[in-house]
Amino acid sequence: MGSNYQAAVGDMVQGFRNWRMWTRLAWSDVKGRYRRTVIGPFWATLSLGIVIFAMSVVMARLFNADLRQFLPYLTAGMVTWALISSILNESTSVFTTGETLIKSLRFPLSTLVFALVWRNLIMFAHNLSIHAVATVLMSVPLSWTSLALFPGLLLIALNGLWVAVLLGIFGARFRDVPPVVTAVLQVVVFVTPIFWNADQIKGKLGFVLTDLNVFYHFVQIVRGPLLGTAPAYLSWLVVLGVSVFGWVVTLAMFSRFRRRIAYWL
Amino acid sequence: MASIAVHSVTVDFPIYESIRSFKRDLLQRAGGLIRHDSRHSQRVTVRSLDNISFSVEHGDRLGLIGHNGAGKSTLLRVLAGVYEPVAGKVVTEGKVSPLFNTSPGMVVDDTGYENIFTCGLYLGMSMREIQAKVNDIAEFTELGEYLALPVRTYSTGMLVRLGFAIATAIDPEILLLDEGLGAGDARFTEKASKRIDALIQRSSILVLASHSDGLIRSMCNKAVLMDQGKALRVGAVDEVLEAYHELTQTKSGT
Repeated sequence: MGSNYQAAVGDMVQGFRNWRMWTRLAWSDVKGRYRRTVIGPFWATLSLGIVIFAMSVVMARLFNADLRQFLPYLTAGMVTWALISSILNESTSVFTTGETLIKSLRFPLSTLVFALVWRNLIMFAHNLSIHAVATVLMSVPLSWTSLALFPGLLLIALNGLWVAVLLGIFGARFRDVPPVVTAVLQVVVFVTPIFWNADQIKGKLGFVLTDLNVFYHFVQIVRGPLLGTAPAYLSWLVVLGVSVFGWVVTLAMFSRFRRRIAYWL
Repeated sequence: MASIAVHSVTVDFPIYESIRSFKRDLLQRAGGLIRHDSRHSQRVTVRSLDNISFSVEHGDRLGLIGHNGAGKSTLLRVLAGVYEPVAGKVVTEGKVSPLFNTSPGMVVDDTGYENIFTCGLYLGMSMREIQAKVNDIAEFTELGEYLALPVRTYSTGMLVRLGFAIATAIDPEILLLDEGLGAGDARFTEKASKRIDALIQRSSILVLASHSDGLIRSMCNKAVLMDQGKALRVGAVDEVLEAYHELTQTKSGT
């Protein structure tokens, strides 16, 4: 058990040191998806941007909200959600898509996981331009608080890593996992305050959908800084707690099943 | 000093999909043994390697010979560390370089030059090493200006040449070769075999899987005869190849 655990940790450490490989992998994935298009990865950004701007006009009217506040709120939330949901969605197939590599070479499996998170951070940087446009249009004041974006992103990356390892293991063994995760995420985006504001639903339901909702806290630690407001301590605490818990569980699972992944592919 | 020690290695592959029909299909083939896991009666496994032991010393050239499905490739992958055995263990000393296909991680939309670096990194070379070898690789491929174009535009032969040139640029300690590592047209093949020879010369240990006795005879000093996941004979090349021919005759006789 002890040696398996060391091997699992060793895989993570060596994978991280393999940064030349995962940064290269991530970039070539980003470039590859939109090869020979004029604006490249900005296609994803553009389509997301159009959806958000169109939605904001309709929803601001529906909620009777001020577009000046609602638009930046929606862009910040959606850009953050795009990061979180695509990490989760891609995690389930992180090992299955690397099948040829895993079967023909010996390298730390976590390299693929680092590439996944890095790729999504690159896409987030692209998508951030949507929020930048909204910020300028609605002249949202930036403050020093906005710098909290960096620890926020770091925490999302740290959690993205364990999520990708864990869901990657499940996804490799049980091929029903990817569609299940996709289906769940489609629900989460509606029940989490992303399209709507946390104070719009009050009482017990509001408590369940915000304070008890882990996704809400993860969105908050990036959305807050983007809007120039500090996330609540509760959000930081929940995210830190989930990070620790997630890594403990994941390292245990990775120790137990790392050797089996190649057999499942 | 490089070395490999294989101690009673056993490998079982779990079969998950459509168990019934797959099982019937598999039973008719000359592959590994199919058995039910004692703990989970539902689970079907295929025994690909059964209690294999041998050792390889520094300077040895070991040939793995056997028919299709005998377990040669699986054994190579176990030596590479891709599959960790369910029982027994493999102890290797020295850096292991598996060469099972020529283009691991090739990105078809990247240029030939970019792929030299991508594949080189996958094969365990450092950026500096690749930089030092990029001219040698480029020259061997004879692709010239094509190397600045996306690999997508290459013919199959050109792709093979590029992949082969990169894969054979490594400096291996323990080299694991699958015979499938073919290389393009006839003129190229002569060049290729020279290059492979040079690669093998550089390595401290070679493990080569093949079902061609000529190849094994010309390259190896030791051999293992594999059949249905078992190592039937381990020893000097001549002796093992003789056993291989006997096996082939009895198989074709029945």
